[in-house]
Amino acid sequence: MVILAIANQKGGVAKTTTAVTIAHGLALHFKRVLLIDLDPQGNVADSLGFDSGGELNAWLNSGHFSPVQARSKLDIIRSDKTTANLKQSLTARGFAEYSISDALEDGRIQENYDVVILDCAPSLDILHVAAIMAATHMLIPTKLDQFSSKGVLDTLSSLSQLHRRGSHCSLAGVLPTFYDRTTNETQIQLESLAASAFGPKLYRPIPVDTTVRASNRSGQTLWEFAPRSRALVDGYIPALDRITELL
Amino acid sequence: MKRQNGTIDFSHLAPDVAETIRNGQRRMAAKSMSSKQRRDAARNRLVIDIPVELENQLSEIARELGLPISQLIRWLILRGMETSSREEIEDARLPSRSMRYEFILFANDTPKRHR
Repeated sequence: MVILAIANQKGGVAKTTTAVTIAHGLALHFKRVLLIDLDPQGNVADSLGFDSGGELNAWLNSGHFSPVQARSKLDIIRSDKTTANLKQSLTARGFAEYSISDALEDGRIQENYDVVILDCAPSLDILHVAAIMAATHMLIPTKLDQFSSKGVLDTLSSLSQLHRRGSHCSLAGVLPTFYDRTTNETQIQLESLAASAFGPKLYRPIPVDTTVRASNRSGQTLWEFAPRSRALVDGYIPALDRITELL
Repeated sequence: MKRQNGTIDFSHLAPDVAETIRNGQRRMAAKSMSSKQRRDAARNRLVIDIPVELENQLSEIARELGLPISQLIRWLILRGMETSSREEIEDARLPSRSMRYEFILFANDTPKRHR
């Protein structure tokens, strides 16, 4: 089972859009997917047309695993404000960094899913650490600006620190988002990512596309709302092809 | 990774990423040109005149293989340059009646179906 963490310590880089689009894309390709929202904002549920919910808290606090079926072959574990309390209670417990990997050992998850996607919050908190400790792969979406590129380096630095603590998570790729071909800054940042050590892991950038925001608002995924959108055709479909190679 | 002369080494990048960056570099270079430079560039742009049948064949192959036609043509030209010697081209030349060129080349305009 592949466990893919979508993470960047910088916010607003399209982590949730990426997690939802990749998760639904894999489900449409007949993979059984469990998408877990680790962000107290609960935007995964919003993006799929649901209200936020406390399944994450119930699962990690009391072992009560009750995913919601969001689409065919796509289940979600929702998050809400109770996730903030969850972080406190996990921190108070010992070995909190293994809470997600332990919970994923559940036979029902091992048998019923091919892929687990962890949508991380934009912070280096205990849930982020637990997600990286549980993940087999990490995908880092990044906006093409100076601060987000720094966020990629910070995320990679925490990944190498967690390798020293026993994480087996490897970098699946760096996914540039909000690629605006009309600005020089975007091009400079893209070239800088390509020239870095993780250049070979760089994915084709996701172009700026207003349909992404509209699809989030409508509670539909890009596959449903705008299957011919530039973001999907030029960005997420090539990304999905590379992620499928991991399976 | 960057080469010593400061340019990006595209060989380690995924092909679609390398192409996106190259296209961006072309756009940036075009944006930084003066209007005179832009006119000159348009004048010097290489346009290859090929028969319609050949163009249709290339389009069909590109579509079947899920490739951009420009990449297919670039690949075929590079393959052609690798396999054809300068002497072969010299031998195939015929005198031209055009005022502009000394020689012309006759090629079979409708090659066998690519297998």
